Amino acid sequence: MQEVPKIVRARLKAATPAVDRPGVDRLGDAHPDADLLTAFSERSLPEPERDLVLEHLARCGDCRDIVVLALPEAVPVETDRKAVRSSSGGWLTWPALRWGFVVAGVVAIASVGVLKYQGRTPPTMMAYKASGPQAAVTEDTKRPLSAPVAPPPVSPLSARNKDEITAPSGNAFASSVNDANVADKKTEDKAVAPVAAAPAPLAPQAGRTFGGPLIASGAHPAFGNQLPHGPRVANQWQQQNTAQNQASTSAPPASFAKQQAPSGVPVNSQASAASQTVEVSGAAPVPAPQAQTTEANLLQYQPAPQPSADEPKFMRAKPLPQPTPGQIGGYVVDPSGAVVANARITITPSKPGQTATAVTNAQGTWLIAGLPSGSYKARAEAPGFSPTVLALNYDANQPSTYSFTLNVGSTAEMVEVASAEGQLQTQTADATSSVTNLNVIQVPANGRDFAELVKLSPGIVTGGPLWAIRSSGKLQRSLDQGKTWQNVDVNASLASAASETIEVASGPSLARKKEQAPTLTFRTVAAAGLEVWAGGSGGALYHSTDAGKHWTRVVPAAAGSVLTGDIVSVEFADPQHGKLSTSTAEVWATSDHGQTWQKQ
Amino acid sequence: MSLTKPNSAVQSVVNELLADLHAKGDCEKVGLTRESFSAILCEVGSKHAAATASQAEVRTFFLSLRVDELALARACAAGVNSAWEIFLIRFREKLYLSALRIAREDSAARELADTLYADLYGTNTRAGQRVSKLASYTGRGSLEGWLRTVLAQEYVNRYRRTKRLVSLDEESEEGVQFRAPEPEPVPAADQRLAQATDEAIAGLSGEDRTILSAYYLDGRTLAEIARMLGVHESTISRKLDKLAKALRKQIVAGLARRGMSRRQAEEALEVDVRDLQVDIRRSLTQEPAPPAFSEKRLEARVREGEG
Repeated sequence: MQEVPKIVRARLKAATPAVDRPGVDRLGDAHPDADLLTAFSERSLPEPERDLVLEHLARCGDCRDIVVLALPEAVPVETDRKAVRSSSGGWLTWPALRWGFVVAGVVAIASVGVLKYQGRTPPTMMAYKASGPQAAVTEDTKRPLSAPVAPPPVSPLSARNKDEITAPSGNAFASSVNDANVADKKTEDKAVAPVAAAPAPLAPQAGRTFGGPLIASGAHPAFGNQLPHGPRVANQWQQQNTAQNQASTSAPPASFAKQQAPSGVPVNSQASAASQTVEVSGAAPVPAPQAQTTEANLLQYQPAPQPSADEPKFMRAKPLPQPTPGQIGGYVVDPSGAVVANARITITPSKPGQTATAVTNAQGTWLIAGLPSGSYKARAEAPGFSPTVLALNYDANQPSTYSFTLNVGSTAEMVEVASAEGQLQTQTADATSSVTNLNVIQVPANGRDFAELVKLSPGIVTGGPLWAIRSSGKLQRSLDQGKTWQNVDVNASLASAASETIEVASGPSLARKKEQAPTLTFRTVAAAGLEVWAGGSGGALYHSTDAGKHWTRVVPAAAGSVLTGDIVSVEFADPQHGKLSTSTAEVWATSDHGQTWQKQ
Repeated sequence: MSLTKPNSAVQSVVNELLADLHAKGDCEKVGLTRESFSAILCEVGSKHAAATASQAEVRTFFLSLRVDELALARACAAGVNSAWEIFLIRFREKLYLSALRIAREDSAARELADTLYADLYGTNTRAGQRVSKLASYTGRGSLEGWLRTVLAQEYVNRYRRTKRLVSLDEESEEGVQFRAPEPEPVPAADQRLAQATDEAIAGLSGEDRTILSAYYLDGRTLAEIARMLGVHESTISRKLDKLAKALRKQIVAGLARRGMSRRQAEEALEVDVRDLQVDIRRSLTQEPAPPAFSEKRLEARVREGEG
């Protein structure tokens, strides 16, 4: 990449203010607020506002830092070419585009070459295997030389082999192979004709290469019919074909002629010229065998699900599935770009037919093999996400990758609630939080212990509601940490409990208390968690075990004497042990949750 | 709640869309009444929509808002418990992870996240009212993104506050204690060069300058810049290349306009002020004994001896 002149850096730096004040950049403009920056990095700003933000970002290093720091975890970036506008006119982009085309063309040609190179290996191997027995069986040296030179396209040849060999055994290939045979007859003729006209010097060469050193002359074009080990050859071909798994496994006859050159056998110029001719003419039969072999692959996949089951295991090492032709695969991600494991992919053909399903692995990838070409509906679903349906036109001859982005579904929040309980750590009461110096200074503590500030931390339960006694003697409760207060009427819920109380307490005193009830005056309240004790004038002592929802009147009595004075303080060290003192300087204590009391 | 008087367009659009937006934002769930939500929308609308904005523009603006997250944030700001529950469940973990990514260290991340919680909860009060930072969220971007941005702001602010404090121990270890302050940048050798450069830079769009600054000043990687602007990495790479070429061309042209020959201009671009300084320093500290001289003298002596 070309470097900018150093002076540009110096001037850029000079344009960026070094003095920084919070909230304001060097030129005195306000920094864009968090809202604007967020919308900017999420690209939801309208053009004029986006320009304003960019203008600021160009000047303000801090805001650039903020934008970069606030970027989400690496998400696959969807390219938005429009977002970056060309600054120096559209014409500059055109050479780049043209070069792009040139590069693409070169890549395409190279890949075709590679495919062809790979494609011709299985036929030659088969030819070697086949020619061994052939040499032993036929001693046919006086055959016209042109015959061996013209090896027919290999696919038809093998197809014919398969035809003969597999049909009796009832193999599933039989029908498709028959079709292939018919289809390839024409291409075979076409291919043979030009090669037969090839010059004579080529013939022995080709024959030798083709037949291998064992045989003096070339192979019979129809040797497959006489092969003693026919089935083995056919299977081998089939296996290699499958292993290669490529659309263009068919080998045009050219590949045989070409094979000569690297084989080290001297080839004269005429021969190489002939090989070129062969190659050109051989190009014609390619499409038909290609389609055929692919179909054969598919047929093999269908009856035997084993290979397809193994396939994902093999794919697992790769970050993304690379489906080969005949396979369909992809990955499933959530809106943040994280992969979704165990998502279920269901592929349904638009015409009635067999549905296929797959489940994504830990890398979020899935793969299905053995689907015929056609249009499908693919549906991805995972717990917590709304199902996504993709309509796809699937071509079995091409690798097909489809990725799903699952959006959080409407039921997701419920699911999250359930799963998030672990995050909230409700099992243990421990929660950690730091109170910074700033908080200590800024929170109006009113002389209270600053350690109380910890209770402001999220997730901290500070013992339920707050309780207070107003100067009027009203008992009040706050459910929102002291923001608002409500009067609590202990008698409202007393009704149900009253009957019990009446029986416990002695008759006259209760009657007095009852008529006093509406004008209760509380003096003190003690609360620990859900336990609340409130005491007031005339020995009024109320107890709630559910944070004030229900109240019980308690009348401490011991050895015949009943507490009658005003209760001025209540202390409970724990739910069992408590102490209260009265205005008459009596001290009462309980050690069993207020069931019995002792006067001290 | 509405400090600024909402203009009529905003008001009418809010009235028109209120029912839809209220339902879309799940406001009932977080305990926002229609009236309070309407007030919030008016506030947000008048803050962002220009006074002259047409009704259609305002309408698009409201429809592009993330109403559900806005409702949640505002409910939290108002102290609704159920809203806080939802908020904590959805963002607690994410917030901490984001803080960890920004601060890159566990305790610092916790501190950062907790400070933000305090701000979100509203430990500051203004005029007796608890002020929650969530009240400044307006729903233009996602709430999660907003939280990340606020975290980053907090972090950058803190860094800015502390970056000038360097421990004396560290300084003495580095051997730079009592270092003289950085000298004022020496003015460019030729003012014309600086002027031409400024002119060329000023001619670029904000985006181009942002890319240049981020790459050359902040030292960001191509990938970071690409994600910042939402384009592909290779686009940034191409663009930087193109910018470098264009700048060079324009500076040379600018210098030519200021009366430099093309050759002079090219030379001026290559000369760096700092390079010049380094050369001077080196030449000053060089041994002042040119070997050629002593050799000559030796030769002369030998010759004298012979003679």
